[in-house]
Amino acid sequence: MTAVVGQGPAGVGGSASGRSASGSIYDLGYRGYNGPRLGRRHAVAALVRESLRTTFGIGRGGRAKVIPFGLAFLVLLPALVAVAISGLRGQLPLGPEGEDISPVRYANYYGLVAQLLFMFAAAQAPELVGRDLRSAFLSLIFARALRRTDYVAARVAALVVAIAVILLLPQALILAGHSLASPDVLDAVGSDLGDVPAVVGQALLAALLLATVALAVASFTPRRSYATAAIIVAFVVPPLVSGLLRSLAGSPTASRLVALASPSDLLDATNRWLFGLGGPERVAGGGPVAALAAVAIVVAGLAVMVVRYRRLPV
Amino acid sequence: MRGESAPLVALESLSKRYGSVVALNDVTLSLEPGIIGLVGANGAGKTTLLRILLGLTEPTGGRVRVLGLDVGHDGTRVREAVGYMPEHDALPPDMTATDLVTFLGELSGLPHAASRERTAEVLRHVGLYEERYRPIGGYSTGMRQRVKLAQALVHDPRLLLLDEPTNGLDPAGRDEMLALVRRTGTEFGIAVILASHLLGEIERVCDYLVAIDAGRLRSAAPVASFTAGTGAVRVEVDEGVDRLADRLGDAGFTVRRDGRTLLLAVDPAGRAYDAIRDAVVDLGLALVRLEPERGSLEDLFRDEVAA
Repeated sequence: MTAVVGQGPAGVGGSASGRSASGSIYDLGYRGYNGPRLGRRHAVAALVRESLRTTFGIGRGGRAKVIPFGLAFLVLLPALVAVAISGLRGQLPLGPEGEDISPVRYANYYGLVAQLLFMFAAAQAPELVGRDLRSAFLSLIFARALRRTDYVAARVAALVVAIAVILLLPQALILAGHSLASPDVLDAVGSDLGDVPAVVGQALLAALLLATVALAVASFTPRRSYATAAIIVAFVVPPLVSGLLRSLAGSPTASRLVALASPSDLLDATNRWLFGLGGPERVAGGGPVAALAAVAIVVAGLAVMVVRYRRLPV
Repeated sequence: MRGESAPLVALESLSKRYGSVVALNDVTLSLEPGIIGLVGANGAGKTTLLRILLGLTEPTGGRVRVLGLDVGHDGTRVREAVGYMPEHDALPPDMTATDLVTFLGELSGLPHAASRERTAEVLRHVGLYEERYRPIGGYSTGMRQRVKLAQALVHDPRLLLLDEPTNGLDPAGRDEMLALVRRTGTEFGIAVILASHLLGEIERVCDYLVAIDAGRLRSAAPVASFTAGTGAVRVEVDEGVDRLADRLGDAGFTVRRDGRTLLLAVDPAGRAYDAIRDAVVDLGLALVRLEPERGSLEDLFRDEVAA
């Protein structure tokens, strides 16, 4: 046999391993692995961790971080304004009603940043699943100690956590700002605590719905630009259709039914319901039905992805 | 070798159809650890078979056991102990080799720190050095093939499945890859199934041969049984090959003309060698070659054409 091994740049590998090896690198010999093998649960946890890093472009060079961190910062901006105002309030003789001058509240925070969240999902979902399709990397992932459904679960979980965090973090900041700026910290915390279930509920529902819809759409194309465009269409077009039916065609019933399939309308409706706001009811059945419809879309999106990845030839 | 009583691979009436296309047809086979060559023309079903062993493709019929585990039920546990190097390029260009192999090691169940350590070791083994910290997008075909081999080895599998590992490599890269595969099987104690459409590669590296053709098992036997002596001797002379053939024929030997050489059946007493020597001397010919004839794997496929 004409073995041509041992041609490598001798010494380079040795220095990388922290020793100045002399002679052929290949003579170090192969060592087996006798350490722990943690199996599928560890594999899934590792995949979730890698997915979270990918969502924020960590480990992928500087440019990959611009969009996720840029959007996360924009989502944070209203909270910075709110904190600045609550800081000022202590110095201005405005009295208790001074609180009202802040345009940023828990009840309208989701509405202020919704478009940014759509953009985040539309930009980052293709990063999570598109590359694996593009480079046929899936065949290496699926050849490991996990199942295809684990892959779906890990990717979805990562995007859900990412969206929930960038939506909850600013509101936690507002809570902290309110509390520290007010003369009676406990009183301030107490008055804000009532909003916590609504804030968390809305954030989780928004994260689940946006993540599953975006990933389900993105899982059908390796092309990032197509995926992003299709996700934006899924978020933007249904409310347009619903709005046109309402204002131009004058058919409010049809408009409210269409809204049941519109992620953005559903999340508007659940937000109004959770915070007890009034206003026109644009989704058939109102807040509770909107929440159920959102959950139904989440389940359908997950089912689409599971079937898609089970059948995908890799 | 880690002792196991179950065979490495056990297939029972394995079939796979894609619509009306039959990729594998009633394959029954039992393999013991070693370096096994899986040979067949492109489209013969080699890749389908490897993917079924991994649980990446579900068979239409039959049973598959790998390392004593049912692939259908225990796919995750099978994949934990098997390394797979696919034929096509499967590496994301924006990841570094180190990050990629570490990540895939963890997906095989290795703790993060252990996976990093193993990654450094296997990348060094396949001959990747400082470039392992650079994105794979800038790698040559040879380097990509090495990364693919490294990711298949990172979790120290008990069985390595290689699908056309020398694809796209130049002759030197081909030699290095085959040497690495051979070492993996002999020194590392890892069983190897090497799929290739190149018989020469299988002949050089493998101990055992499985040949499939149009989805059917054609043969499964030690490589040595194909390349054993055929009981014939090949004679080549500078010129006058016809005269030599006549002379040996007259002496009662069965002579067959094969191009510019003669094939002569050798009797147990070895009289043929004496007869050749005498005939060459008598006729005043220049003897160029006199060697025992060995079979080659190509005979397997030559028979197939004849049949």
